[in-house]
Amino acid sequence: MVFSSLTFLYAYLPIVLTIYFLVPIRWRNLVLLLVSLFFYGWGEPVYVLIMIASIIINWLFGKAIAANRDTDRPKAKRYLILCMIFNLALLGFFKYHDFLAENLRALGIYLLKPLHLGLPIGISFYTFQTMSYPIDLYRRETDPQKSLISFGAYVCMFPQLIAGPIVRYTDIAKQLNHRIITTEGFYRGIQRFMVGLSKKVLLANSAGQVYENIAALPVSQQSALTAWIGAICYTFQIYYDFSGYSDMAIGMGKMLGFDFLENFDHPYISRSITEFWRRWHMSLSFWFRDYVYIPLGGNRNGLRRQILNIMIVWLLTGFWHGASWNFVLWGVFYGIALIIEKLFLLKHLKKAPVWLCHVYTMVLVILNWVIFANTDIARGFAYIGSMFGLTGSLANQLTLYYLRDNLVLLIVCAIAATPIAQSKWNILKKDYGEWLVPVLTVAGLVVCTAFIVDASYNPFLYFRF
Amino acid sequence: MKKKQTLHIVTILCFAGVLGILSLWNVFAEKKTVSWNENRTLAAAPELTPSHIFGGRFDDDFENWFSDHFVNRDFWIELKAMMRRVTLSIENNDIYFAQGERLVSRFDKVNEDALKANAEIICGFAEDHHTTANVLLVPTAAWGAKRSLPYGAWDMDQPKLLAALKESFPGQNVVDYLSVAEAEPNLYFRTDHHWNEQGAYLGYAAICRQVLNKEPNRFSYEPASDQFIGTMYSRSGAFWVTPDTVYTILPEQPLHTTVTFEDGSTLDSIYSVRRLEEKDKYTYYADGNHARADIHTDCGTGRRAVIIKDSYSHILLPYLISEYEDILLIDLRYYHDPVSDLLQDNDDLYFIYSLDNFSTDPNLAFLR
Repeated sequence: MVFSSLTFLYAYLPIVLTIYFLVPIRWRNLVLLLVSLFFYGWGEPVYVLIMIASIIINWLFGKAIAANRDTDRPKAKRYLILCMIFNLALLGFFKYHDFLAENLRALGIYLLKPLHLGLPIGISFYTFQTMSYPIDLYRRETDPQKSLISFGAYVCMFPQLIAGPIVRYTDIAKQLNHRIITTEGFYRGIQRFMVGLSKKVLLANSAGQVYENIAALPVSQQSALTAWIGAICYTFQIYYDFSGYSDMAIGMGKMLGFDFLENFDHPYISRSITEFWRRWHMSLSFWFRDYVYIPLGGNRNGLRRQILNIMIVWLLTGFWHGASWNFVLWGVFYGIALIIEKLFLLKHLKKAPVWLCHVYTMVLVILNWVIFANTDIARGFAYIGSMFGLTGSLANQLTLYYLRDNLVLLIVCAIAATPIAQSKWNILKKDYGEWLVPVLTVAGLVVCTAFIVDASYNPFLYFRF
Repeated sequence: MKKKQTLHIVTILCFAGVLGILSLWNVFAEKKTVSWNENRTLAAAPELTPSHIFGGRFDDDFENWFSDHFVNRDFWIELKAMMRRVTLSIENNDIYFAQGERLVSRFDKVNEDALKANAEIICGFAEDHHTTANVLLVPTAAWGAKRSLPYGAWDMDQPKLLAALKESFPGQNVVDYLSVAEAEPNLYFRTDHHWNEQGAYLGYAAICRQVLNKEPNRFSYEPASDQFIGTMYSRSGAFWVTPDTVYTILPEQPLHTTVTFEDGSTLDSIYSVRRLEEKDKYTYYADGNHARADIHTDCGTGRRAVIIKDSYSHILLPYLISEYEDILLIDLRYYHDPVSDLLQDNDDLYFIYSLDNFSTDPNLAFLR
């Protein structure tokens, strides 16, 4: 069940909010755990058992690590390593087993059989999240959670369960045990949720449809400009999809009394790739920084080692996004871009005209999204080829059509990617303008509902005859 | 501070109100089983058996059922179409919003292989039977409505396609619709993908001049229903558009007509009056899609036509029955027996299709 489904909006969410606010405060973590398990079990009725096992095992390891961390460091470390092995094995088995098996087979090694198990929803997110707990315990950055129920509520809390942000235990440890719910917090939560829902339903889905249509065009109808429109639409789709989901998670967190960290900070206004990755999917970048890059030595062991560390992190980042070579390639490209910027480019970019920095960054980002979008690498490069005129056509009638048909969508997507909402132009922040919030809430819900219902509209007509 | 508090509470009530009201309304609303506009049965409630719940499809099935039966489904569909219009999109679900409340589908795909194969099948069939096929391919509404389509609308160059196609029928008589008809929106229904009585009249005129070598007869028109909302209406979600009118097409001399269908049922008119009660009132003409129809009239010309066709031909029949005493209609989508057995000497053989359907239809392969 995704947040932008009717089942979630008009069955799950109202019921859950009602129960959550009816029960006494001391039961709320239990309620949160149960409804979250239900949420997960709805989509993964079998794999929910893995989730439960993961909660219990990480919690037990956490206990063991905490008990030994001050008295017997090596022992605590052994527990930590075992715990890491468990989590990574879980992720490795479900996410990468078939990839490994198929690649070995391609090399002629018939060691493993592809199992075609299907990836448990959100496993990439929740294993990273659970791993932060024993590590932070070992590093004495937090105290163990005494209650298995509260720990379970942390791991599988439904707002951030399936698409992040990756919440570190330390960030919400206090709120797990004690949180304050105010009407203002709930109000802010609604606002944030509505922003996210609208991003996902109105912008991401619409832009995604355009990209799909353009990517499916026969070569004879493709042209360079059309391909660019398609790639830009995909660029908007992935941002509004993902950041919209994060907004909804953060918004529902606020409704329930939690403050999650921000996950996106207007990435498309960046002036370099380095800046882009400080603004895109921040919770993942922090995770890799704190749990991979810095432990590997970060920048403390000389430039060569730093470059190696960056490449390792970016290989892993790419691989984390999916068990397919295009994601690895996507990560490696970013690794290389970051290294080049670190070595010399960043200095020049600082002196370059601002517009040039934006163009440089966005062109790289857009091209790399095309790689990301196509699990078939050859297809991705063919698409990039048509963006650079390999189909022999710069623009045609279809270019005009897609531009004309989606003009407002493209303009809104472009404006909404800037921090305009934080500027003085945002009338919602003014005293009188705030009264638009309830109006927009109702209007937003109604319009988003229309778009979601419409997605299931499927006229079966003898339409061609 | 007090004021802020009020704002917060009002917002929360609005949010909870919309979610709550729609949730409860959904629970208590009467569930329909068929969507009239979509012409399909709506999803059934998912079974609550363990094998289904754990089968891996439960989540999707539930959402399908839930959204198929969401209260006031048509209202939401229409609202979405309106939002497309308001945000200056020129189409919804690939249907253009043209001027004058006209809804026009795009003709964007030509299956070159199918097209070539279809032309070859027709030529081969005609040669085998030592006759000449009369081929009438009718351009779609996007051609007729060219000037009233919104700026930026894209469509196949149909005149070019038709010109190129002429070469594909060596030895056959290709009826050139464009020689009698100029691109006019009014040759097509506004809410349906078919041509209307005016468009069909020009098709008939083209047949008179290019097949029968005579001037077309004159007809008068009488409204049969002004409540026709067609496929374009349904597909576009533009439910604010006013319905079309379907007409009864009357010859100067009244004709007595009988129609016999493949299942033995009969009509004593080329019109099927009971179809005017249904949504798709285009089926008023020749009772809609049938595998085979044998039409007999008392026009006294002594001629017989065999028409292999799609539904574009149906509205042409009220005109053609003034020229042919007997007409045999074959729809290869449903009729898979040999047509050869039905062909007699001196029959006029026709192939009448809409251009877009002819460019993709695989069913001509059943012609033998």
